[in-house]
Amino acid sequence: MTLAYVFIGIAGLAAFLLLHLILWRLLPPPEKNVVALTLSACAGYGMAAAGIGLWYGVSWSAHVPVSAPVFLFLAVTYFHFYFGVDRSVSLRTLGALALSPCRRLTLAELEDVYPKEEMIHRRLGIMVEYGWLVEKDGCFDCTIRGRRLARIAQMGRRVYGLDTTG
Amino acid sequence: MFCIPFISDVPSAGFVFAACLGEMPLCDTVESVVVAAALFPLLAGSHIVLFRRYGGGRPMYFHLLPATVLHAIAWLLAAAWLGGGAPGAAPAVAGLSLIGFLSLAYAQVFSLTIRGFSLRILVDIHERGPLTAEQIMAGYSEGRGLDWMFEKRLAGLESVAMIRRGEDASVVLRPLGLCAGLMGVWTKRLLNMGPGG
Repeated sequence: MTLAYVFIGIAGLAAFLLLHLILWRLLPPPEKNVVALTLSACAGYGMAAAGIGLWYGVSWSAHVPVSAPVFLFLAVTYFHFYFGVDRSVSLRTLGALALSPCRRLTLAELEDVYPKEEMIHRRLGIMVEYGWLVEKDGCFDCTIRGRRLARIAQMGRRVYGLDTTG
Repeated sequence: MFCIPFISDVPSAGFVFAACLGEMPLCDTVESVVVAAALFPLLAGSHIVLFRRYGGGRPMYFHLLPATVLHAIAWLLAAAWLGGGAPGAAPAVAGLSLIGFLSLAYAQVFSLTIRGFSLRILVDIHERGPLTAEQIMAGYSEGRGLDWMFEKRLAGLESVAMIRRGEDASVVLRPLGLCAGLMGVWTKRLLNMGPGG
């Protein structure tokens, strides 16, 4: 029976990924965000758990203690990958190199295909959208939420004993 | 004791609640998950100690892997002590999966703290704001600038053999970097995402 519960967790991931693919091909860019991704994950697990549970007559209380942790582990692994693809400066750089003719670029050529202004403006746009920053007359300032998050980040820096971050 | 409601299944909710009152033993699998979650501070604490003791400049998982193994061993000992023997298949799968989830979720938070680009911008603005985009670029990470950030990223890629620096200071892709780069490009095309980064 444990294998069946593990299968529900894996099926939940498959359902999430399918739903995620469909939604991401349909949604406009501003709506492809963390909330939509998390809701897709919950919906995918829910559908798999309900569907397979009904099919095999397995109650939620029987499989959830196993299938949910399995699903969470698989889903967070995918989230790592997804946010790396979406946000990682390193991965974007590797992509630019992979698409270049000789798989090599000078720093100036890298700047052409991946300008630093684009890095900054994209990040600022996301943070304004999340409500961490507010823009006024071309200047960006923290909202109350943003300041709270910044203080947590500063605390994290002290906890880890870091000289620099970023 | 821990009370975990399964509201869609009333008899099971009753079972769990009665167990919470100490009238009957909790289900092994639920107990296993609860113990794994309760021992999470051990993972975080041991990672912090290892990171502060042995320093940065190493891949993230250098310190996180031993901390996760320690978490798993502590969970195994606790589960065996509570259950009167080694956990069965279902509790083992549940407990280890939750440990894996907690480890990866913690890794994400840790990574954001030490190298999060957006978070660093947020802290810069919090400390010196309000700032224009140009001021943010020039003063990124307490005045080090974006060139410093980018060089740091390139150094990181070089340390894991994804790129190498050419004689003319160009950046040359290595096979592992090519795989990672193409995977990113294809994923963005499949999911209709923007350029990323």
